[in-house]
Amino acid sequence: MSQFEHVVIVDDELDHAVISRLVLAQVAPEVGVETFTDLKGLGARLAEVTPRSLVVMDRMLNGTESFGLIEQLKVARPDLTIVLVSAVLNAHDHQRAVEVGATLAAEKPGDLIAWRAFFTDLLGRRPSASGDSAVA
Amino acid sequence: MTSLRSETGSVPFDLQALIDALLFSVSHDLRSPLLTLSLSADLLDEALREQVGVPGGEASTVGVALNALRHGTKDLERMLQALTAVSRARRRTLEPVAAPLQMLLGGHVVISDEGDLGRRTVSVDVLAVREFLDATWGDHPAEIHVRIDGEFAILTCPPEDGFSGEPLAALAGSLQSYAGTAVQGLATAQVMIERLGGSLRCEPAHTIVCLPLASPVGFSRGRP
Repeated sequence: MSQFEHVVIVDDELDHAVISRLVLAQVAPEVGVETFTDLKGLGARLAEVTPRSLVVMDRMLNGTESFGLIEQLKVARPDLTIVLVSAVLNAHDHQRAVEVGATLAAEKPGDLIAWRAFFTDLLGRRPSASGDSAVA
Repeated sequence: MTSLRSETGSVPFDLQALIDALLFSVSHDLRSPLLTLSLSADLLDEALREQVGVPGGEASTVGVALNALRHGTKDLERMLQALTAVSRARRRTLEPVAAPLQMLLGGHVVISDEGDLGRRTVSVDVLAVREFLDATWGDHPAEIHVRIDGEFAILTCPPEDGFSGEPLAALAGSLQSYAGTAVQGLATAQVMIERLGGSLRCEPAHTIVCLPLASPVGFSRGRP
């Protein structure tokens, strides 16, 4: 049983967003999934997502790092659990993710089995309390 | 730090920063479409499992195509991992401290005519150098000869079989040949050791690592 009823995927790579939605439908068909691939007005649209959603956000959105967006979103919507994902992350990126309020920062898994395990693990996590952060 | 002017004349740019940015962007940006290919191959494999062919039997066209896709993506991933490793080595925060050679080389068989190596200190990021030593010769104690030459401690370590030269140049010259091999590990170590003011090169019979000696008063030096 998922700790989250709603997941929001934010990724300008349409293929990644579609595959993420597909994998989520396989591992947790009861969870509602919304994908944001069009970044126009993204901040305002994210501010209106379902309460206590899990937001899985790509680190690079149209060539811009999303740390600032996460920080703003966490201020506007402390009820959201935000996870930063990226093709490549280093220790400094993990640290920055913590500082801006992400609950977790992780490299995108390289195969389908690992993607399923990743989402299964994410959905089993407790939603973050306001202001809490813990990065693996 | 190298600074050049662009072809158009007036805008100066920092070559090292440009290389760092290029390495990061290549290793990050190319991994995204690679991930798409890899996941798509997995999805196709699951969806078309009965058409892929029985193990040991004659491969179907779908099976051949999926295998080729997998091999291609794995090879690309191997080479991108090498670029990522070099990029990380260039961007890693290094904290050089005065470290006694005896402590730095602990666990290995150290041979030296230089007297008490516990009193000889080198200016290095201990964690980075230990990671390199452990990754390269961690399986069993390596025989390391140490001598002092001017401002450097010269470590003569076991060779990397079949390779001689500068590992970073070799890796940069042929990702296809060296990505994912021991030369890649030596290349990333070379990046960090050179940032600390030392050097690393491979000879047919030895791997030579030069580490800068710390000053007698123990202040740190090198480029962090």
